[in-house]
Amino acid sequence: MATANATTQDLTAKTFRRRLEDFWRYVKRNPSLGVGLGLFLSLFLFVAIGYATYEVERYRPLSGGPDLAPFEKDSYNPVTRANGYILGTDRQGRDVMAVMIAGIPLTLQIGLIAGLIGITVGTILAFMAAYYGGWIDQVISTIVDVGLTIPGILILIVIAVNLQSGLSVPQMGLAVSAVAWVWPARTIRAQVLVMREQLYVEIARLSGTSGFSIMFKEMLPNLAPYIGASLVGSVASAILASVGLEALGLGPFDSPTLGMTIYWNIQFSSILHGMWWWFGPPILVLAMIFVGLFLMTAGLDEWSNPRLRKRV
Amino acid sequence: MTTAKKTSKKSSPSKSEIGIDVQDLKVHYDTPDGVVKAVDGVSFSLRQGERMALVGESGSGKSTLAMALMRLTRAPGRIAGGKVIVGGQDLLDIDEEQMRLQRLDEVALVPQGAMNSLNPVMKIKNQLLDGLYDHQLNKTDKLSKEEQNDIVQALLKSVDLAPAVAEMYPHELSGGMKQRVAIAIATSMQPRVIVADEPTSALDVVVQRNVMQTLGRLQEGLHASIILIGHDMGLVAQFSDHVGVMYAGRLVEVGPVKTVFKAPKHPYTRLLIQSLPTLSNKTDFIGIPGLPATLLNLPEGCAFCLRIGKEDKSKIPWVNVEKDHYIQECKTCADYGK
Amino acid sequence: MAAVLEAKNVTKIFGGGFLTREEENVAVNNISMTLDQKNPKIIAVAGESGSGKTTLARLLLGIASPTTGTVEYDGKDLSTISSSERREFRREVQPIFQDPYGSYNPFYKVDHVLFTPIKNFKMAESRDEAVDMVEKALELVGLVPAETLGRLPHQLSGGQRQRVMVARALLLKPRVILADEPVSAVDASLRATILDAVSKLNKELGMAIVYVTHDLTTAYQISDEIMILYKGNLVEAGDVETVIKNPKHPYTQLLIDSIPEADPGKKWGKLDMEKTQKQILTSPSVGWRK
Repeated sequence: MATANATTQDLTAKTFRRRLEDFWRYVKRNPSLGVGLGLFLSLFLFVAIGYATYEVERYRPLSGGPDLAPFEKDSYNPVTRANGYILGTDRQGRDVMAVMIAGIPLTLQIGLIAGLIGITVGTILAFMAAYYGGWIDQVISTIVDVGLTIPGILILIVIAVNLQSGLSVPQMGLAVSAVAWVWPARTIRAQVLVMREQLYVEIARLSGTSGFSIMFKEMLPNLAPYIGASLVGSVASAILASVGLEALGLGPFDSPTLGMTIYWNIQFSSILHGMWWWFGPPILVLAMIFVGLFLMTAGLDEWSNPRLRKRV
Repeated sequence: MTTAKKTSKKSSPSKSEIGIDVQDLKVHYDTPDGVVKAVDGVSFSLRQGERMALVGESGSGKSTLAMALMRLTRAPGRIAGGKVIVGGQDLLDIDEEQMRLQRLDEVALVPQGAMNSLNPVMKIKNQLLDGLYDHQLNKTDKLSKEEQNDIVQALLKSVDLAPAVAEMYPHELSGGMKQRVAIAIATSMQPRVIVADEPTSALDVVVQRNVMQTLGRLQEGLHASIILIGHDMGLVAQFSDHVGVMYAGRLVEVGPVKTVFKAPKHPYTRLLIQSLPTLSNKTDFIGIPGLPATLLNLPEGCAFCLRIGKEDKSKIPWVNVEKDHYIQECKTCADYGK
Repeated sequence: MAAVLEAKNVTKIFGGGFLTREEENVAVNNISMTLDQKNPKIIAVAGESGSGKTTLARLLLGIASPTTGTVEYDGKDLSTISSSERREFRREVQPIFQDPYGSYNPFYKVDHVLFTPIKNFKMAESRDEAVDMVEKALELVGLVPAETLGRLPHQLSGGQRQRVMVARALLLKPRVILADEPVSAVDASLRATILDAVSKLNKELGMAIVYVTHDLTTAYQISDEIMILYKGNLVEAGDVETVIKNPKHPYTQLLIDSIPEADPGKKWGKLDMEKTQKQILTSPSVGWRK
């Protein structure tokens, strides 16, 4: 509230340090967001340090002797590899540590591409449907509702099988985006429907603002937190879908993505052979990614919905 | 009033007893920018059966005070001191479980927007019995269906609602009816003190009159004390015996409604009354200058002086100007608006 | 008589369609009113919730269309005017809503709500001219531009936000202002300044004002004429002094009787509720009193 004795304090200018303090304080009050971000940060650091210090090239097959346990001496390279590899090697001679360092960003990349495309397409369709209503809304809503009932994995398998000629990582992202837009379209449409009735939208209209401007300038900025939270959810689903496809053998064969690593694990029965250094890391990392994304979604949900916030 | 034998064993409090005695109550909020003293040392007492209104602008601390009287203050707010004595017991001194038992039984709340605090998926009769049931849980004998029905019907009758309302859901009732249900719930255990936080703010004027008359009638029947929180001075003038004016978390004037309205002694009260439009004749619009005070880092001394551009840092005394009539006497701004 | 805005026997019925389960609700029943340009007045439309006053306001604003009857702007039926005429109408008839917080887009500073119409209606040649217009309007409503512009909505008090809305209405220099409960959500003590600003719009700038409210007291203070609505019907209307001091229809009498006056000497609620309710149901409308 505006007050009589807060004269000199300019409420609009905030120093960077102040912003950082506010952010840190908020993170402490919102542990979900904090832990989620923390998990992600650690993964980023892992990859960054890995690229800086490790020979990531060794993610390729035949980089070293096969089936080596961590730190086991490599009989094929006895001099250079007397101390073995930090995470050992897999059945085809890949350095597992290198695979992890190279694979994490690739998997995240797929998720990000699919998530971003999904959200963008979903948002555009949602706005058009909710704002204009009428037959546009009918058509889009019907497609979305039908699309939601079809299992996404089926569609993805059909797409992937038809693209079998050397699927690359970006192509994988595009393939998954084909189903990633449906759920955001639905949820964002619901939000826009509510927003459309807001008083300030009415005032904007009465001030002469056109439909398009209303969508972009009045509604979109207020939806940004919600869209951000949806994006994180989208990315998580996309990663899950891509890992699923890859595990079935429908992914980019030459790339060391986490899903492909799982695929090779299955192919070579790593569990039966007790190669814990090979199946352990991807599972652990996937767990971290999903838990992190989930916590971030929960945290962002609280941030974007002021009523959930524990404000003063 | 209820007639079921389980709840009528309360004795009616006597006239001269003190209904509620608030001493130096403080409620503070801990914010990153400092301590906000939402209620800064409020004291008043009310005899049993009397009606008191607490008025003030938004941010004056009156709703915070209402919550504190029920010990319902939520983090980051906390009760930082003082006493709230009801029926000889300091409510701030007992433990949480005892306080829970005191709520509804001794001190009841009719909340603001009571219509929104009714459970939308519960029938009215169940909501009326809910509080009672909770308090009976410690006792071994449960109420039979017949007894339950008797209680529900008696409660509905006490607030002028038809018997059929028992089987309805909140959304089937109008605003005024929902507010009456809230009043029925609040009075179901014959409390000693009723705190009504803006009970009619969202209601039409005719409905408001009905609801207030119902509330008044019930209160008189129970011989309970009632503290009405609001900002509608007209309602205050018509309903209460005493009025307390709050500004910046402090009480600036307290006294019998007739004297305070006729001859307000504190400048803020004077301005408040002057700014009210009437139906008697057309006048110029007189507003209150300045902005409501911020409660953050409120400086020492008179808070109202700051509003009119003056300053007085001395400790303002709480002076008894006439019988039951007290004010914060600040010499610097005392004559403003006369 | 040049009528800038006129409602001719408008009726608005909600629901009651063949396929819907909604009951038919006659929100506004055959009401007529005129807003005159040569002699602009403040007309209060008073009633409780469900009286149809907000629906009437929306019909006059052109946000809703009447089931029967017409709303005419400068003699032209609103439902048939061209889009350029409609744009002009939008500019000339401006609202002030009840909710001083919801009217603002929380993402933008309060400047947004003031500069947007200037930009859209091309009311200023340059940014400087626009700033000048905005500052003058703010000063007219008693606000200090330096302390108001550049703030986010939640940084201003409810009273200030509402005054910014009045300033916005001022900026556009409309011929008609429709104020729907402009002070209900504001503290009683801050209402006077807002009402003063609204009154100035009429007295100093010659705008016709429709003041929709449930508060008879402020309606009495600010208006020249008053219309009392009950369940969609106009039960009594006329010069505000006549209607308030000498109400003829039992509903008007009940309303006035139920108002708590800030004077402990004047008791409220003297009328017998049941008897009056019965009278209301049987009494015909008194219509416009001379």
